[in-house]
Amino acid sequence: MKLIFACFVAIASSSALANDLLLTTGEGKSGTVTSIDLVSDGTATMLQFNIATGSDAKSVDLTNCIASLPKSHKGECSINSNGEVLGLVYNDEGVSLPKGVINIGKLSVRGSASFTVTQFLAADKTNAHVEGTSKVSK
Amino acid sequence: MRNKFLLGAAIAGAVLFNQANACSIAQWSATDSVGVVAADAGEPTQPSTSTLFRRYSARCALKTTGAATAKYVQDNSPASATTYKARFYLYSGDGSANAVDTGAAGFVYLARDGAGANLIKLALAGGNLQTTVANATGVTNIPITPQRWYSVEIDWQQAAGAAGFVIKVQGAGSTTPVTQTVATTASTAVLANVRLGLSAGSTGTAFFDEYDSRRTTAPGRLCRGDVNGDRAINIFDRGGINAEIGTGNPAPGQPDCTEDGSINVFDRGCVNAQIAANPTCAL
Repeated sequence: MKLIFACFVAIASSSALANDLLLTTGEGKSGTVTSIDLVSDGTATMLQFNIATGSDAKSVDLTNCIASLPKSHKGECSINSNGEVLGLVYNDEGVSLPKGVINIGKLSVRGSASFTVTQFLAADKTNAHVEGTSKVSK
Repeated sequence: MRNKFLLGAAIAGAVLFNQANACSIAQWSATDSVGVVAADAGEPTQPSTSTLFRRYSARCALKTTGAATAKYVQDNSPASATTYKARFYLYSGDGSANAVDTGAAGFVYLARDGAGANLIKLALAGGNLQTTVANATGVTNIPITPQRWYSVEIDWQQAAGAAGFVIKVQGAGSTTPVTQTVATTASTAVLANVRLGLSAGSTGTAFFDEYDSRRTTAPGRLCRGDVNGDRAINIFDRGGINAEIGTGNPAPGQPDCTEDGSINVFDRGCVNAQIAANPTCAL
């Protein structure tokens, strides 16, 4: 945990003008778990992330996918037939996500999984693109 | 695309790209039979642009890739029209690497008389939609950005006039059209048929959608951001964006609010802006 926190601090300090989506993957009780976090620069009001799990859709638990979002924001997660998780985070009044490291939620997969961020988009309150990057770590 | 074939007084026809559940080009009067396909919208959220189908409205569109031979569909319904008003949507390729270029002599749209002479020709060359009209002088250019949808509205009349031909192009999320008016001289030519596609030697992959042609009333643009196709923009359209992103099932209306060929979170933001602007969408 200390290692993860140190990693967040390091990335946050190097990403002052961008939004980084971070997946931190580890072993869970019955499979693989990845934590979804955002290193936010305070400009994004909406996010879209597509995460390939390398698993079939039935093995993926989306219950906590956006469970930790700030109260200012809502979201939805779904999964397509390819086992790709599709996440949306939004505030329709143009409120930005707070600056700093934000936990969005987590994904659990029965058995092994290989998480890849296939798409990450961030929009500001004017609906303009905000620079976004993604990283997957273990 | 909306499944309709407009017939009736003063309405010549609207050619379909799909019927019922399947995307089809069967209702076009003719095609080159090779290389023009009805494009199923597929998986709109798929990030890989190389395999995406693009559509402006509903589920289907027309996809054609440039080749040594011409690839087009043809609408013969104008038959012998002396006035002609049409609208279609054009997506001119995915990025600069695959942007459509027909060359100045080529076409993406061609309206001809019964003898096969060109009356209206639209080419995509050098990043411009180039218009050439019979019985008029000069070529007009309207800049087109790749990876964006544009509506193209055409108003042609046989009779001579200061506004014998008018073309209106709007897209890429813009709220204002570019309009060019061309003076024409007297002619006896009648508009017999129309081709949509790519002329021989074109490069890139183009998508066409929502072609609608009439004789007296202009079809007009479709309502951008009317995701569920009910001609009103409200919170249900916002939900429709979420649903399409989440399920991959194409919405029945026009979800590509930003007109960039992809359905994503930016379209959700765009629909929010449309709700605030409260545009009039009724026909």
